[in-house]
Amino acid sequence: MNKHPHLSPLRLHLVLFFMGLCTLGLVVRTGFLQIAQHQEFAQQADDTHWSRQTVPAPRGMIKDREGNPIAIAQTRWEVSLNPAQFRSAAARERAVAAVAAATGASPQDIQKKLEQARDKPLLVTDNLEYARGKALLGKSLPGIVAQERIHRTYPEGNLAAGLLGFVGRDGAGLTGVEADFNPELAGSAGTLVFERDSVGNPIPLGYRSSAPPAPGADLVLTIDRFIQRVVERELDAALKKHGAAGGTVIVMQPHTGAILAMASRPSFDLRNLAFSDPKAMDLVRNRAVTDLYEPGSTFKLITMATAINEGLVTPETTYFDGGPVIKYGRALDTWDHKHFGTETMTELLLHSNNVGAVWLSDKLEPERFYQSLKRFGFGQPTQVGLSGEAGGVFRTPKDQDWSPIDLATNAFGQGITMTPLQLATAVSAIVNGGTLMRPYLVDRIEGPEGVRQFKPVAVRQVISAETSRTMRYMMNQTVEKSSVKTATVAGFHVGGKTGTATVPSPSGGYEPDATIASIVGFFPYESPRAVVLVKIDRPKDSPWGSQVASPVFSTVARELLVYWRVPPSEGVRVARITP
Amino acid sequence: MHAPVFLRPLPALRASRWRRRIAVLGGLGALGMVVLLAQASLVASTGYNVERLEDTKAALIRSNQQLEDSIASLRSLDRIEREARTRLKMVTPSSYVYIRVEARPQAPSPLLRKALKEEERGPAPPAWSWWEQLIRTFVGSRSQP
Repeated sequence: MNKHPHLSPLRLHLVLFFMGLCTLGLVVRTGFLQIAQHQEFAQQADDTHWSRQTVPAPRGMIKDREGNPIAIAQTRWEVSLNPAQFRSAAARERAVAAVAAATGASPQDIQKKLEQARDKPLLVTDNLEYARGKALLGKSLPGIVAQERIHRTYPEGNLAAGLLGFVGRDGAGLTGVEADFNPELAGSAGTLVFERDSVGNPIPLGYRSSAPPAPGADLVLTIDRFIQRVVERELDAALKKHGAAGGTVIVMQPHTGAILAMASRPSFDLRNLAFSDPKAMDLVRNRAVTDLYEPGSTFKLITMATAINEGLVTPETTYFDGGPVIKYGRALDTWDHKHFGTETMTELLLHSNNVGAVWLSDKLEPERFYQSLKRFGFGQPTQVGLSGEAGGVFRTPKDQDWSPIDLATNAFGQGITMTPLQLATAVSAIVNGGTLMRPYLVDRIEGPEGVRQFKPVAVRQVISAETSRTMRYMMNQTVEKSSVKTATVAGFHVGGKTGTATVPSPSGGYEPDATIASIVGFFPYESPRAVVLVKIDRPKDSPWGSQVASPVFSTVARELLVYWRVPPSEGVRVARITP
Repeated sequence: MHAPVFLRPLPALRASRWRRRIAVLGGLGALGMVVLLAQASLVASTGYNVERLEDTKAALIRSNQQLEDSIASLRSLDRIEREARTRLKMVTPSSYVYIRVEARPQAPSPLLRKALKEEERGPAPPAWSWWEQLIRTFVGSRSQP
């Protein structure tokens, strides 16, 4: 046997030993990977090989009663940069440049934010147009992470913000109609499972399974965008003019309970949601249904309607107003400290006489009065279908803290709380022939499976048709015979009642200088098509409903009568065209 | 018993026949493989086409959403008012003049009726009888029935 002269057996054995050791190491390592870490690597391979995607369902639109979109769902991209996936500085620069070009942001800004983020993923935008996002993804640059999300756009701007509410980052409704009708609007997301190749594209002949998303239904509201816009414009103008803290306007169809417009201030901007300040969350509630207030003299309509319906008085019934009335040790006076001697029930409403209201409450007695309030729906939510709706509070003789003075003050709308919507609903019953209608905001839901139509719901008859007719007449006289004709509309007959309520203080009693100026009225007198409630909180220049709220009512009424093409009754410039 | 000599194939001829058979079989096999390959390629290509079309469909759906948004924005009251004020130089009316038309209203034309809302349409005009239609055809009358 020939031996290599330079190769000793020891060296050969050493090489063989090391080779054997390496082989053993490889075998052990392979065994470890294959057996001990099998689950983990199998999962990684599975994740790389299989793509499981959630396909978001298109969220339904929210439309006004004429079908005009108020809120539309758009599919947009949420684009982030993940520094952990950048393989080099050049790759990072390429990704930043591509994202900057797609989003319109400055590359320097993105770089700066990336450095500040310290290797954590950076959200660049959550609202990138679909086509731009798709083109960006087509570049297949590592480090760019894009995810589809449903984004709401508002063609009518900030119209009806408090009513609509908004959706969260996950596309689910958080407040307002968006939250209350989220199950209908959201639909259900679909899924897509497929085998993908090394660059993430689906393998054409590979396994593929998909469950398509079920799109959300469109919500058609009873709101009319034109009326809502008029109402918001006039409300904002009044708040600015009078330096008021807030306000509410509701327009309701008295015969159906359909809400044509509902606006509250202060509110938020749908297009610029910023809730980092916890106080900002205070702006999102729909104050027309959540906030309680003492209505003041507008409530005399309820007291009067009850007394007439009970047959205790007629519009011509007289009483004597000889000065402040002392009740249980408390002097109750008129709002302007004027007294009118003998006056009729119509004049009681015209002068908004608190002494007269107390006289009426004496005639009604507690049981009939409070029974009537319950029948008008006070003390319980209207079931309008919006979350957070308050029911209002009033004490009755069954409550321990009730006192007879409550009856007297309740009769002119103090010591009793309600929402603006409750009062508008009750006055609608007075105007429409005596039927309390359930207010509603959604006219129909148009889904893939068909249309679900909501119909007006009559809750109960609260006063007779005759009483309703009488009350309409008295409300008309209250507006037209008033010394300050701020609620009238030239050429048309309207009806209404103003109110100036004091504001309860958290420490007890009432605030000395704060009032809520309001009016609730209807038009046209001959055939009522709308009940309008205007409430202005804490006006600074004038406390009176007739000076602060009535002009808003008048403007809204005039614009709506023109919008509805209601012919004028009289007293306006009329050009005649004869054949 | 042996067959007659003239019936026995020559060995060279027999070999050539086998070669032909193998060649034909080989050819058929190759053809089959080509067909299989072409089919697989076609399926793959169709698969990619389907993927691309699905992408296009998704993009078109998104584009449709965007168009709906654009239409709604163009029809928004804010935009209409802005256009009226800036482009058409319209102003808010300071007073209203109501025009009372005392002429008997004509029934709107069928085309106009379609454009009107239900409550604005009024009663439908009476239909022409067949002989009135015949006369109208010849006379060309435009009057309402």
